[in-house]
Amino acid sequence: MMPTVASLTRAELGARLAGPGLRLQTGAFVSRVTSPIGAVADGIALLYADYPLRDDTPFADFHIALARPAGLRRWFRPQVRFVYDGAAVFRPLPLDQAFPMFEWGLNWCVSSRAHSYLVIHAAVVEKDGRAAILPAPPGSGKSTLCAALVHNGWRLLSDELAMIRLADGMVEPLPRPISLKNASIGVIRDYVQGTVFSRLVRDTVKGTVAHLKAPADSVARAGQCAVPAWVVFPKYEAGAAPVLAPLGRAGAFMQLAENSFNYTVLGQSGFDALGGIIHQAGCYSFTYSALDDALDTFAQLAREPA
Amino acid sequence: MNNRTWRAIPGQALRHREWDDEFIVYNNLSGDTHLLDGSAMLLLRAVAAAPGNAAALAERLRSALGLDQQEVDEIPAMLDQLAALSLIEAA
Repeated sequence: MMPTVASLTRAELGARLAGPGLRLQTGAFVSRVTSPIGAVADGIALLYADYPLRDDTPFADFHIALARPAGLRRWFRPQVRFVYDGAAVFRPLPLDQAFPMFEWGLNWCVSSRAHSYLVIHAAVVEKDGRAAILPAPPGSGKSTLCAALVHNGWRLLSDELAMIRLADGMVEPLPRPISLKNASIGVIRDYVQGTVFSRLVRDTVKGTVAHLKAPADSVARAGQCAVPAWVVFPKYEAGAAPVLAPLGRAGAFMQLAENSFNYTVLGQSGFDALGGIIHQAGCYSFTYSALDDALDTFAQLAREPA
Repeated sequence: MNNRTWRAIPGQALRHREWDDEFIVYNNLSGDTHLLDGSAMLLLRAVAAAPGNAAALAERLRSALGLDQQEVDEIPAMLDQLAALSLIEAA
C-alpha cells in the first residue's frame, strides 16, 4: 500500500514542501512540489490527503515550485510565482492566490506537456466503465454539473482535462479537486452534503474561486481507465428545461477539436484519436438549469445498452 | 482563370472520417482539419484521381453521378474554395 499525503502531519508536510519537496501522484503523473507558502501546504493537506506519496521514485514528470518573488515588493504587496523546471512561467499573482495558482499551474503542466495523450478541456465522469466527456467553455456550468454527478453515482475522472490515450483511445483518470467559482460554490455546498472545500479566494481572474475535494473512491480508482461512451456539450441556461439533443458527429468532431489543448500539436495521431472517440461515442448537446434534471438525464444515458 | 487545371498537392496524404455524408478531412501538409459536405468531398476525390479543369471535372462527375446543371455550375466556386483551404492547387 502506497503511503498517502494523510500519513504526514501538517508540520511534516510543511517541512517537506519547504525543503526537499513533496512527490505527489495525481493520476499517471508524479509532481515534485516545493513551496514555503503555508496556504499551499494547507490546500494540499486538505484536498490531497488521499493521494499517493511517491518517495519511492527519484523520478517526477513535473518539477513545480510556488515561490515568493524576492525584493521589497514581497513586503508591501506579497506575490506568488509558479516556477516550472526552474523558470517562472506565468506572471506573479497576489500571494492569497497561491493555492489556486498551484491548481492552475498543474493543469498547465499536463495540458502543455502530456503529448502521449489527446488532452481535451473537458470534465469526465464514469459509470460502469463508460465515460461521459463534457467539453465546454468557461461559464457553461461544466464543473458544477461535474461536481453534482460525482456525488451522485458517477466517478470523477477529471474536472478539467480529459486524457485520451493515443495508444488505445481509452480515457485515463486524472482525478483532482474540482474548481468552482462564484455562485457555483454555494450551489454545490447546498446541493451536496458533506463537501470539503478549500478556503474561498476572492478577486482572481475567475472571480471568487474554491476547490472541492475529489471523492476518495475516485482517487483510489485513478488507475482504472474508461471507454469514451458519450460526448456531451453542456450549457447552463437559467430557467431552461432539460434538453438532450443529438449532435451530428462531424460537427461534434470539430467542436471537440476546438476544445483540445494539443490536437494541432499531435497532427495525424490527434485526428485518429479524436475520430475514434467520435465514432464510438453518442454525441449530444445538453441544455439545463436544474441539477436534479441533469442527474435524471445522465441516469437515462447510463441505462442505455453499451 | 476558369480554365486552370487543378491537381492534388504533391506530398499531400489526406485522411478522412465520414459520418452522415459529412466528412472530416485532415491535411498532413497544412496540419489543418476541415469539415466538408458530400459534394465537396466528391470533387476533392475527383481532383485527386486525376487533374483537370473545371469543365473536365464537371464532365467526369456529370457522367459518373448524374449531376444536374445547377450542381455543375457550382463546381468552379467549389474548386476555388478547396484551393483556399490548401486541399488542391492550380497545376
